[in-house]
Amino acid sequence: MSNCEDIRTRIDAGAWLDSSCEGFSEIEEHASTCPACARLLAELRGTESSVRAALEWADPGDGFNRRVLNAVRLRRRLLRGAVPLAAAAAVIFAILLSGLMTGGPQAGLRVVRSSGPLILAEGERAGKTVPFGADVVAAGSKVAFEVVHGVGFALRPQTTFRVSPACTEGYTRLDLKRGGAAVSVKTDRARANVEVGVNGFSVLTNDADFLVQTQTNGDRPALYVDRGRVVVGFAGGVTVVRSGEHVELEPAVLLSRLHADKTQMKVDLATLQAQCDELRLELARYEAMAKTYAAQWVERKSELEMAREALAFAPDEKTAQELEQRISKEDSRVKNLDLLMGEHIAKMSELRAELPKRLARLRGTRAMASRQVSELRRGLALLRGLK
Amino acid sequence: MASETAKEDASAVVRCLKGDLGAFDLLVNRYRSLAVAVAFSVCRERALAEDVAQEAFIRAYRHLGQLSRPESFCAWLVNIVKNAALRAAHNVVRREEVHRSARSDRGPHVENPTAAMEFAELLGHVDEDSQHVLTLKYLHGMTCAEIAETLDAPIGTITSRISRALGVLREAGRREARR
Repeated sequence: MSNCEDIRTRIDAGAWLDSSCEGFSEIEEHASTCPACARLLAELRGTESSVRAALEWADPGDGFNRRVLNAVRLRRRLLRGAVPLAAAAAVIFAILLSGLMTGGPQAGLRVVRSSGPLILAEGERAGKTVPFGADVVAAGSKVAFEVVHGVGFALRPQTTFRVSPACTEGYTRLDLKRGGAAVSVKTDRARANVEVGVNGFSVLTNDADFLVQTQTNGDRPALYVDRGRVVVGFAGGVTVVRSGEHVELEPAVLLSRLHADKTQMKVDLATLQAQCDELRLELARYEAMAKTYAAQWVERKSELEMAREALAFAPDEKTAQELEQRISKEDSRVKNLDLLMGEHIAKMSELRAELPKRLARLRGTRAMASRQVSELRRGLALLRGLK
Repeated sequence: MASETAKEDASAVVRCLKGDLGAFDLLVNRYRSLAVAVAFSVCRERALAEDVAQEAFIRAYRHLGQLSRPESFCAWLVNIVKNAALRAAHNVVRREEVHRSARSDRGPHVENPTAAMEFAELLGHVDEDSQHVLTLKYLHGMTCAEIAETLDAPIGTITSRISRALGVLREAGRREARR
């Protein structure tokens, strides 16, 4: 038989991982007689289970592919100019975070003309390029910008804004002159937040890339979120739009979305909770059955032992034959019970391994729901500030 | 010599560059769990990790043309994920600082990690090759022999890589438990 040192070397080489590995059976055989090596193997197998659970937990599901591919498709269409911009009448505005700018020092907004002073570029003439996220204009000014460099979207070359007094602390409000959209840009570079109001809707967000598309008549504005989450405020409340989603900024659409989000969140939580409860019940059932089988096993085993003892002192041939029959019957019962208990114990281990995964998923969903609720609360506070 | 998976990745990258979105779907499918786990190991918030992984895939798609060795897609993607996660974690800290007055009870790490979450964090501690084989074995359920065949590598190399990675994770888990 191999000694511990030899076995440890094989364990280090991973021969214990599965039966396709050379030396697997020797390690198993050795571990059945060596507690130290068995403990090491058990620890490594525990780590294996944890890795498996972690990777399964990390899998974001097929919805992830859909969101990524939607974003990629829309980007491709935009870059090809295939998104209907309603010819020249459509207004598309996109602002990327200052922290994500890759277009070099000249990336930013170029002021084409301004009726009021520029704050950072005070005294500068039209044509000055200012970085994204900077305070660029004074309240009350009428300013035309064009977006230069570092923007991944197809943009209308010039968009004209009217600047109204700051609506909330730290914000400069910019109202689109054309297209019926109103845009507010958060001026704190550290947060690089953006607010966009479109026909009475406010898009309140943190760290997101998004795109607002508005028709000339302004009655069907739409929002596409490329990255991150965007909180949309409207008369009926606030709702969250996730990356890869394209939402019409219509009161009815937003309201039904808000209700659907709430319902879905409740359904998801209830489903996960029910799954966990069901799993616990199933586990309890198996545990009860295993206990019953164990009690029966003890009883049958004792009968078997008694029969065996009696056989040793059987007074005659007939009694011995009867006892042998009984022994054979009891032996078969004990073996059946062994089998049943083994099956139940295996099932219990499976359920015990599954339960933490489900609970982790439940906690994860709860955390996401809690995050969404806090986003909505923050959005409502911002919306109240805007009003 | 490039492994079979690396060759498949390279072929998918080439097809993506020709405009085949199905090929990109294949890459997303193959590496999404790994991307989320690596992002989570940095930013320690599940929802944020998903966003980061999503951003990383979109960024990867946008810059696929700059990938000089398409067979290294996995390692390249993991680097993008790590950078995006670091940036996101930084933004979270900054945002938390700004919102401290309103939400003084929340630090940057808002979730209480479960065992699976903790392990997802630890997965960022092993190298990209090991992350790849761990994903094949424990997420895609392949045996060591199948992985060796897929990656066109000796089975001994695969088993020792997995065993070494598990040893690193076991030690890291112990250290975390002691903290």
